[in-house]
Amino acid sequence: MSRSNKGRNETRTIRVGALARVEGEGALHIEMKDGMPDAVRLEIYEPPRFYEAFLRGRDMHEVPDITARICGICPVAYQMGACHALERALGAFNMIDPPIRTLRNLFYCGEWIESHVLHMFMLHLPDFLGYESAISMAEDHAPIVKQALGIKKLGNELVGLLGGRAVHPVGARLGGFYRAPDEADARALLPRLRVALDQMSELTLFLAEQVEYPDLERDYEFVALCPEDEYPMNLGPIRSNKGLAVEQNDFGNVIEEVHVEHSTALHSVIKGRGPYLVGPLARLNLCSDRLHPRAAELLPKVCESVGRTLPWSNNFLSLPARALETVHALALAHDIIENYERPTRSYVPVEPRPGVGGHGTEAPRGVCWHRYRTDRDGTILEARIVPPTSQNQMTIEDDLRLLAERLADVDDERAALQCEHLIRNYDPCISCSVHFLKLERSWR
Amino acid sequence: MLSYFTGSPGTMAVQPVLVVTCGNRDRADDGMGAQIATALAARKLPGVEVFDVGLNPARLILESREQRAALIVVDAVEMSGCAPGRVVEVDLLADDRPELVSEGRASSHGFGLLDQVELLRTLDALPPIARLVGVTVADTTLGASMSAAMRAALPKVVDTIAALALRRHA
Repeated sequence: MSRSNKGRNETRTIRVGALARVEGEGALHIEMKDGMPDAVRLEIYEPPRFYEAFLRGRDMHEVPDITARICGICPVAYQMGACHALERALGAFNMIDPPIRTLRNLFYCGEWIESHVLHMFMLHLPDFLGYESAISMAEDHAPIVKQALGIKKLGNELVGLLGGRAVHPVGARLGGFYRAPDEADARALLPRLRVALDQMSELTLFLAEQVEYPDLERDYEFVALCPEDEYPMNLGPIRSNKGLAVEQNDFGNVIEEVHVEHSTALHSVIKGRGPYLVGPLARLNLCSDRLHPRAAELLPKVCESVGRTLPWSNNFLSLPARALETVHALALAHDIIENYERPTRSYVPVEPRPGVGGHGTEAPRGVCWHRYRTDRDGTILEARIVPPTSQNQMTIEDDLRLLAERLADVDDERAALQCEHLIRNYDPCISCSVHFLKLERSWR
Repeated sequence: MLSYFTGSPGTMAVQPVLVVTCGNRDRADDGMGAQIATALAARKLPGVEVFDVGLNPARLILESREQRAALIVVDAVEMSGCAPGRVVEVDLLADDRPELVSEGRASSHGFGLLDQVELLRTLDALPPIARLVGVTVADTTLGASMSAAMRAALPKVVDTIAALALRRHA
């Protein structure tokens, strides 16, 4: 890291070599004028990947396997978005057997667990506790790191149980899964799920009680799936705390994706309103009453410890929100497996037809929405994929603008660290991969 | 992703030597990691467990926290002017080991293979012997298949790594 010590009236540049705990390639540019941020740009220069283009012309059955390659951390989200959206396009959405829907939730539990635990304990917690990395944090907090690694491994195994492998799983298909797991294989995970559930409950209280959260309250529009009878994961209409209420098919019509010069990722806004926030904080604020009882019983203690009742409007609190969701996912996975009987069929046959369908599911980082148009033989004619990080990008910039105001008197090195910390609140998955962040702050 | 257990059938005891390979099978010679894992597994070396983490180095830390006698990490290395298939052994625990280009660089979420090794050390889970076995590569073109030179060199590379693993077991 290098920085100049020039005066405020000159351009100052901070370079942070290897922002190693965020995914993708990006830089942060802040221009200060009269002590206030004049321009804040989260510059994403990761090359575009053209998934939507090369899905065109492919057979409908190839889509879940291709979209799983978008992200090594949250492939289930892309597979589930693709399956549900295509099932809508193909008229099969309401034909999916309830046991298959339950297995899809179990699949997603595995992804939430492995992704949330990686982010909380390896990437984000070191910021809060003042460590450079999880490695230096492990010197003082080895038991926590060991427990977290064990829980993450369990999440990976849940994904592997249904997906055949933990990374870029291949088990999901249109209509369900290529194969339903054996009961014995699933039940073998129960003892470790019970241990992990107890450990994660204690870790959640640790995060609430022992971590000091910076104060950065904002009036967000929180957007999430809001099913009536369960915590959001695969199903439900999309709603917000400011009156947005749309059915899945229509979500693409109420948002607008905008290209901005400084980013290869599109920015999303709600038409006529502006930026919004998706992710664990949105889900918790909108659907806390649908948490699994094991997570729900922790919520009052967590709220008391962080000194705030829901809704939380401070995205630094996404850390305890992820923790509560991890407890939820572990408990839900336990219940599903305890009651699991291998279904008579693992998928519902889906026939090709011309159609259009849109559907989003709750990736660990928020709503991941897909829309497909199919030809009569099942060929993909159009594909649109709206990932959570692109939806959050404008909100990240607005957060950074507010933070930059408060950092006007802070030296560049500390300012850069705090900006990185804020960006990590979102667990951004820029390439669905930022290895390098440059912060440039200039004064005029 | 490949996963092999090469000990006696029916047992899942922790083997004293763990060989972990990595690499991208869609980048020509970098795909040698998976091929080496396959070849080593076929030899059923006593006391040796082998798995390939592919492009997911986090799997190293998740799968290898049991106490073992030795850890051998196999990765592709680029050395100018060097033919593919040359084996370079680096003691990961040596204070004077050469700096490795991938240090500080990221894979998934910035948590690379050497970060995993360092975290294992911090958690007192790193074996007393930890070696990086670098295999020189010539071609890492995206989407290409393994070069003829690399294919030709591979059997000898496997012999060398197998000998290293057995020596650590002995």
